[in-house]
Amino acid sequence: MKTYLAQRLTIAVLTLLGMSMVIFALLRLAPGDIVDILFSTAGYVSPSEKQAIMKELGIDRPYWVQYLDWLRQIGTGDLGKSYRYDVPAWQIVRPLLPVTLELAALSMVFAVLFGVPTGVVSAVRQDSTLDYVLRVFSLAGLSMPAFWLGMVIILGLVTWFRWIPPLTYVSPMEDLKLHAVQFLLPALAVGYRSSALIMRITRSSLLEVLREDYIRTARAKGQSGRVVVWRHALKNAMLPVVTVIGIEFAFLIGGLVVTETVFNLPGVARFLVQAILWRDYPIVQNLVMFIAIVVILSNLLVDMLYGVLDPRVRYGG
Amino acid sequence: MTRARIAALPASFALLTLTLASPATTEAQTPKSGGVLNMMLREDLAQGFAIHETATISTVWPAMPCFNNLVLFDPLKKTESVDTVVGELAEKWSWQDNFRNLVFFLRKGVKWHDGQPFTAKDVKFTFDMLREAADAPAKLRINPRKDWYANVEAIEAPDPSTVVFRLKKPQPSLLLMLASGYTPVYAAHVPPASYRTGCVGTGPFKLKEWRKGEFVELVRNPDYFVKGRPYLEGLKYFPIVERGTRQAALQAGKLDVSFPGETTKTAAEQLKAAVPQLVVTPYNQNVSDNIIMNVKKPPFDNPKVRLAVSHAIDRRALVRAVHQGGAVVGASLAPKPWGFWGLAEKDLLGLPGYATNPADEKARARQLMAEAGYSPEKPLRVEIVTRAIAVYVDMASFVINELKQIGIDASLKQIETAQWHAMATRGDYQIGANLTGIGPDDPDANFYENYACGSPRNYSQYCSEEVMKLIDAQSQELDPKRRLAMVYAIQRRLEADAARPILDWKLDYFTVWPHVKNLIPHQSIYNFGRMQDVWTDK
Amino acid sequence: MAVRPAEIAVARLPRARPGAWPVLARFARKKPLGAAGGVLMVVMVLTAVFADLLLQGLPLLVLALVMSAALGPAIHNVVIAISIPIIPRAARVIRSSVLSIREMQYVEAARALGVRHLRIAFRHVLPNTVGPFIVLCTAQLGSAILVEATLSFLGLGVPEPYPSWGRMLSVSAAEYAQKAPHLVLFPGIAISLAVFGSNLLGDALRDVLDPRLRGA
Repeated sequence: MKTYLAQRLTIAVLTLLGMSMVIFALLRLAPGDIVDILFSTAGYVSPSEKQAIMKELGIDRPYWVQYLDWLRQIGTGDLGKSYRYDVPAWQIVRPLLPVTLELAALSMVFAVLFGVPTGVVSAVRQDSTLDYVLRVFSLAGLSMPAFWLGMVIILGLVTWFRWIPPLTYVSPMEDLKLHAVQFLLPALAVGYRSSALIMRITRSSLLEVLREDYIRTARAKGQSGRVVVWRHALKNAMLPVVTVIGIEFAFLIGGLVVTETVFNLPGVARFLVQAILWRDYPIVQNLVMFIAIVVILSNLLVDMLYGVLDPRVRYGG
Repeated sequence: MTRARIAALPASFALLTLTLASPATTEAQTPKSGGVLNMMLREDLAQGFAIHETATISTVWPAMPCFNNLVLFDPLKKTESVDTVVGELAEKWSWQDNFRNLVFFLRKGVKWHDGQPFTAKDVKFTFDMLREAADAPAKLRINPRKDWYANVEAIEAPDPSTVVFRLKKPQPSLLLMLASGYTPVYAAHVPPASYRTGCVGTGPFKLKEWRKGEFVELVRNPDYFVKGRPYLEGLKYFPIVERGTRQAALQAGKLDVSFPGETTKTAAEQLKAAVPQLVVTPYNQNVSDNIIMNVKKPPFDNPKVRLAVSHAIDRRALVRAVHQGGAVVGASLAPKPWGFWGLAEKDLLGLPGYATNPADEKARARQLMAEAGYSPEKPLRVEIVTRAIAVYVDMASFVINELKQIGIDASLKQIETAQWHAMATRGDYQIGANLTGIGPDDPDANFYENYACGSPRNYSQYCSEEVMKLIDAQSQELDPKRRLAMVYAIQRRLEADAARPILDWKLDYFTVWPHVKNLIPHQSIYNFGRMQDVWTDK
Repeated sequence: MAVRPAEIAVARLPRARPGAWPVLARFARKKPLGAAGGVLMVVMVLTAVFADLLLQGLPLLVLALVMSAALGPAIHNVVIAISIPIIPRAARVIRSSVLSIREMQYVEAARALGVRHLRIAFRHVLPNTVGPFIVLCTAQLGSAILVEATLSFLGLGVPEPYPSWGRMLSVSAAEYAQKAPHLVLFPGIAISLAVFGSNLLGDALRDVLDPRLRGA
């Protein structure tokens, strides 16, 4: 178990290192830099002034120096300075993190709470009308762009109720109800897709398990259908479901990019798009690394869960 | 409605109201103090509050309440002209030595937000920095409006409350440029770079908090030098990137005011239909759609081809199709009543592209193309560049279709914002569909920037000595009537030369909730954001 | 001739490890083809491992977002930005199905008959990976459409004048949505139906091509 964890952590660190290179390179590949954007807001261009600003920001140095500098910064816990805002990146990034994490967690909770039971019902009632309705409903969730769903929700709210959720982050300390409303709607828009996926996997994996011998044995022993499904089958069917939850978590953060934009929530994902457009390298680099860390940790967590769910799974060594 | 209400009031009360309210107040109600105004931004502040380092409304609009100018276009009047300039930090001013010296007598007892006294030193500091004087104590890292002060020879501060601008030659327009929202006075005792992260101004509102990407909050400056102002307790600006969300927030009453330059006619009509009590005011954005053609490169070095392009584009159809009627045709300055200096529609009739019968114009354009050696068998193929922003692309698509009808086969190439200005300044293009915004509605601000030989923003690199002489002459002309006639002549000449064919002037349909009072749009989006006299009747 | 670059590349490598490089260089000179192949193999394996690691750590959309910003607005760049992040996933699926096919009896039989390695790979194994591959394609088609729509919505996708459902939803759709709700509804419905259709197709193909999962 310990060696396994060490192994996984090593891989995670290597992954992050690789990611840092790719993101760094991609950003440098993008046409234009922060100085071009600054000049575009001023409506003119001056090569000599541009050179001076590049020097000021340190982006006139060779790429490898900049890259090593960034790694060194991460190592010392200092994330550098935002080019656009002229203040330490961490100061900008920090308030964004809880918003995105909460939204992602809430979406996932919603997805599981909705996806697993409907999946079970659908499997138990295989080929019934209810099964078909639920399957179509879930397939629809997989097919709708989350941002469009968000747009339609906002549009509906403003047309029928002339009300929309608050424009800035409402802390739960301030007003719990408003906070809940603010997060629930986007979480619904994002979670729907994930719940659809979870429902499908739950259904198919449960169907497979229900065909196994031991289920038949349990049935033969006279146990009621409900007990068989919930006590025996479901636990064994959860393994692929947990896998999907882990994979889906990464997707979900991607989906937040636009949902945060549509709902104007001050989270990591919305800020990332703005930072990319502004070529604010320190912010983009660090935000992407943050997303990567969250995703890798969630994958690790899922792997750990395997052991809990299935005693046959052993962690190497 | 206002008039009816006044008529119904007892005479004595009406009199009282009139004496209490500032004489310029257009509303005959007593302003109330208190309340907070919630406003939208289309993106977060571009460079913090550093107005002098940007040229975008995204900065000017939320930063203006923090600052003061020497003089400002009267926030309570719709028109912007020399007659509507009022003093801010300058109590009085006077032109001396036949418009060669501009003397400002400064207000006494004004304090910066950090408690330091405001003096003539601050004014000298700001404008020496802007014009990049040899002995300027500070330098801006980006200085987009340096050219505005090209004619300033020296700035002197003989005593703490007097400042003298010495000019190389007479220039009445200087006062108008100083009255623009783009010309606040910076404090000499803080580094100019600090305005990118904070704001030490003298203005009616102080910066309380700027949470990046979430909101900017300004609060009433209790020590403001105008007694009893501002009326509002505070201002809150929310950047909302998604346009639909922005609009929904305004409609739902979460926001009180639309963003200058962002509300089209159709959008305003829709808002009004949903919420009938909203107040919509159309006004000139002072932003034009125009065509830039590189006169240094074939095929547009040939004046005939340029003229053919100008003839080919049906301005009125463009206004109808692309702006749904939310724009007006005009030449290089915005026409009356939207602007002050522009050619009226009847004066435009003789100019290329403005004839009432578009078929005649197209025929003329085809004839010019034929004279330049092009024919249906030998069409002209060009790449038309535009910025990768919807308002640019929509206009460019319309232009492409018009050009097709005279045998010019244009393909569209979109340039990212990060590269657009660099490309245009380098002249690295043939023809482009462009938008040009002008701070104050003023001939000097416009002509020197966009048509003068060697100006970096003269993207088509059109350069005519004769026109330069005319521009200089109007700049120095002291008689307003004669100057207007000269400005008319220059506009005709520029269109006849197809220097940078102007297609239309865009209107903004400024939309506010009825409780917002005294927030009056001007003839340009850049100059009415001070918020000193704005109050809310809630 | 084709192998010259590899040789040059090897010869130019830094001489940090005086022991190893001359050996490699000699090898490269003597057996240029083998060396080139080796280099190619190493590069491919490294790329695959690297891409795999990346995919593990980054959501498809975030990677596509950064990539399309990096490559600039053009239709082929959007294709690259969307497809590259999918490559490792495709590679994984093919790898796992090859691993199982490799153990099949007919492959063993072919090997016993002395059929050459490459021939087995391309003649006997590859055609049998087509089933899972098609399933994968249809499954990814849906998410590719969604990613494109999202990128276009954010202004980083397909540029004008190419029409895109995602872009139809950006710019002015929301602005005019109340007067003309169809501006928002129809592009969204079109995207949903297209993805819905490709998902259905994917399900059906999976049932046909992969009978083990039928009914699941």
